[in-house]
Amino acid sequence: MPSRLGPRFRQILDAHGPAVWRIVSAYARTRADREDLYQDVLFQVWRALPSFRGEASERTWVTRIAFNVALGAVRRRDVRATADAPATVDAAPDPRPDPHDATERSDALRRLGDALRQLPEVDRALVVLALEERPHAEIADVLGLSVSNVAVRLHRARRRLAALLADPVHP
Amino acid sequence: MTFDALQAAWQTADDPAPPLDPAALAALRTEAAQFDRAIRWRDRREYAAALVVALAFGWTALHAPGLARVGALLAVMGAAFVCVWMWRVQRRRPPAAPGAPTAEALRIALRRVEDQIHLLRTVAWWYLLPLLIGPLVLTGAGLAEAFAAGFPPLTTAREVGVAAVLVGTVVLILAAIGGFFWWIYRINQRAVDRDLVPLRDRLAATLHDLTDPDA
Repeated sequence: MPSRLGPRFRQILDAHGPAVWRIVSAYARTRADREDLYQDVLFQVWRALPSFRGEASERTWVTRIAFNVALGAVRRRDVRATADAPATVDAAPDPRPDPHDATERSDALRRLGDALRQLPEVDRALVVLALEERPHAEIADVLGLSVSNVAVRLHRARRRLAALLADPVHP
Repeated sequence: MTFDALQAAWQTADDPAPPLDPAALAALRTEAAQFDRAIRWRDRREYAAALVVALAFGWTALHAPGLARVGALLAVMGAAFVCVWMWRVQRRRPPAAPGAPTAEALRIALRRVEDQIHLLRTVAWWYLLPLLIGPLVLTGAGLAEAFAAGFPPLTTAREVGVAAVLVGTVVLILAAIGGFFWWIYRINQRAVDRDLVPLRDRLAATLHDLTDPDA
């Protein structure tokens, strides 16, 4: 299998894998969730690679796949939870730190991760892309928005993030 | 902590991506292939069942007299209509490309879910009714012709009893078929209410959040 992945896929993985790994962390509740999402994104990239014609930059294309896969996973998880669980169940992310988090990530990063997971999906996408230092034009290209819309929305999303970091909602 | 500091912390986190797991990718590929195969086989089964119905009733249409022939032809046309309808709906809206912009991917996903909801909400009209009308006309024609030909004779109490049993059996069979079709209708509506409507609402809300500048 590894030899059949192809050099192009390996190049993409080397160039964009770390960013994908950071992006999916904002949509996963646990380390295992995050690893599953990461593998899902890589799989979709690998599968779609033969049809990639360069309409967008490679980085934009991989980032779009990461968000489409992550948002799809969150949507499926939420709909399943709505269908299976009683209405009183709290659907907020599990605030308990992952065991790996405690050892591998700093306290600031953990707080940032917790705050990100409390943001609405769209705000989360905007903030994550801003944390990745993507220019507004690229954020617009990834999400399919206008650049002016990105600026306004990002400003609001950052304010919400700051409020959550200042006053985290923890039980 | 400033946003710049958060950016720096985010990008320099000592949390490297796990190494590529070819076995996991291979498993995903197998899973995706199995899923595609299962969908293909489901479609083939539907078309094969329609073909069997068309052949059986087509043979009847060639040999049955009068109204029975009309019923058989209606059954053949119903089976053909169901196949064409399913084929048309399945090809109308392909899924978004994996690398499509998020808003476009959400819009396409939403339209596909709305198509599915419409398809299942109207299952009685495009699936159940076309399959039901032909056999009903055929059964009615058979009964009418039998009674017109004087069968069963209704001269003695025993013959009236036999006729009542026959009619009762036909009514029971029709009720069973009606119950079966009602059950199919209900499980489709349940799937819409339980799975598709929440999914549509979720997609619509996310798309609204993303595209409405005032959201």
